Amino acid sequence: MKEFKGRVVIPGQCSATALVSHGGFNTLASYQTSFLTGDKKATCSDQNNPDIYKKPMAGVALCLPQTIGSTTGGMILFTAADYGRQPACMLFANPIDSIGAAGVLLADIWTEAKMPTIDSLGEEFLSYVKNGMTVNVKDGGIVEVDD
Amino acid sequence: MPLCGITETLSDVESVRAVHKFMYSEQKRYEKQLSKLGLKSKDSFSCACYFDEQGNRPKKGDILSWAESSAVVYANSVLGARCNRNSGIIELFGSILGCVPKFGLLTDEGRKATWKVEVKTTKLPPAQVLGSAIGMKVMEDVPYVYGLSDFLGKELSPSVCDYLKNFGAATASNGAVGLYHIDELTPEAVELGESLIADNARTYVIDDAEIQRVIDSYPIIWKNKDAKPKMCFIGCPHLSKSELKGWIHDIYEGVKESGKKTTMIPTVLTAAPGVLDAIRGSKEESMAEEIHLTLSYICPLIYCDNPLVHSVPIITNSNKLRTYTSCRFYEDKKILQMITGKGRM
Repeated sequence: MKEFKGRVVIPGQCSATALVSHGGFNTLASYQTSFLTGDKKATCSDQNNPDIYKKPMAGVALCLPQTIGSTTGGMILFTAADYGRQPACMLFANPIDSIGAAGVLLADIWTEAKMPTIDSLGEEFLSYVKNGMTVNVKDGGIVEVDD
Repeated sequence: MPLCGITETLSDVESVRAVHKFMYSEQKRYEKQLSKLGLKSKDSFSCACYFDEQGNRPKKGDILSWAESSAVVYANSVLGARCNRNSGIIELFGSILGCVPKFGLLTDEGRKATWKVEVKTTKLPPAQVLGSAIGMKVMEDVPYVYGLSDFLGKELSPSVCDYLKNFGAATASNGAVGLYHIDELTPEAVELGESLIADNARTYVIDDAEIQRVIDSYPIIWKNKDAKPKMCFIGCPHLSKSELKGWIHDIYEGVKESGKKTTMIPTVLTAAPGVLDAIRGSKEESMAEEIHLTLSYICPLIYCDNPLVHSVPIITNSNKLRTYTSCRFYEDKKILQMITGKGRM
C-alpha cells in the first residue's frame, strides 16, 4: 500500500477500483456514446485514449492528469452524475483544470451523487497507480493505493 | 442552393434519419430558451461567432463569457480578448450576470507561456495536425510558438487567421489550450514578445518526423478500414468566407479536370449562416450547385456524434471532428483528391 496526499476539491470517502488515464481525459469524447445509448456502465468511447477506451467508467476511481477537450466537459460530468453513472471518485495528478472543476462542483451541488475529488496528487501517483488496483480516498486529501 | 440537405446525403441509411429525429426532438424548445436569454437571431448558430459575417467579434482586452473551445482559444489568441475555459453552464451564468470569475487567462500572469514550441518543419505543417501535437503535449498550458511566422508571415491576413482558427481548434480538442502565442504574429506576442514566457518554461520541438508520428497515431475505428467513404465533411470549425470560396473553386476545378459531373463522394461544406448568406447569388453558389456540393450551417460534430453514424465511413480534413467521432482524417490535398478523383486518371 502506498499513500499519497493531495488537495480536497470535493470532500468525501470511498473505496473503488482504479481506472487510469495517463493522457488527458477528454470528457466529451469519453462519455458521448454512452449517453446516447443509455449504457449504464458508461463505457469509454474515446478511441484516442487507449488506456481507458471501451472500459467502464461508472463507479471507478478515475485517475487522470486533468481533463481536456470540449468546454461542454463540465456539463458532461454533471450529466454523468445526474444519470448516476459518474466515477466513484476523481483523482487528479495535476492541479484541477477549470472545466473539470466546474463539472465536479456542478455535480456536487446539483445532484445527489457523491464523487469525492482530490487534485495535485503529483506525477508519482499517476506512475504508481494501475488499472485494477484498489484505491481508498480518505479525509484530508489522503489517497491510499493497494497493490 | 442545397442548404442543409444533409439528411438526403445519407438517405440510404434510414436508421440514421430516425436517430437524428430523436436527437433533434428538443431543438425547438432549446432555441426558444436561447431566444429568451438574448440569442441575437436564428442565424446566430455557429462555432465561429467571431466572423465579421456573424457579427460577434470582440476587441482586444474585452472580457468574455464564452463556451465552445475553438472560439475561446481564437478569441484569446488571435483577437486578444480574455476568456477562461470554464464550462457551458458556468459561461451561461456569466452571460446572465454580466461578470465572470477573475483567474487564469483573465490575468496577465495567467497569460504567460509555460511552454516554448519550436516548429522546425521543412514546410508549413497542416494546421490541425500541428495543433493536435501541441494540444496533446501541453494540455491546458499556454504555448509560445516559434517558427510559424517563417511560413505565415507577420501579418494577421484572412488566410493566416483561417490557419490559426484551425490550429487553435485542434489545440483545444486534442488538449485543453485556451491561449497560444505565435512569435511575431499574434497580438500579445507582437506587443510583449518573449517577456510572455514564464521562467522555467519547457521546450517542445516539432519537426517533420514529429508531424508524421502524430498523424500515424490517429486510430481508425471503421469496421472495414478499406471501406469506400460514403460522405465527406469539410468545415469543423465552420469555414470562413474565403475558405468556403476556396474549397468550392478547388473542388469544382478538380471535378472538371477529372471529367466528372459531381464529386465522387457526397461532400458537405459547413459554414456559419452569415457566411453562407454572403455567397448567396455568387458564382461560387452556382458552381457548388452544379457539382452537387452541399452547403450547410449544421454542426458536423453533432451530426456525426451518434452510434449509428459511427458505422458510416465518413472522411474529413478536421482533426477536431476526427477526435470526437469515427470520421477518418485526411490532409487537405489528399481529401481533395479523394472527393474529385483528380490525379487518379
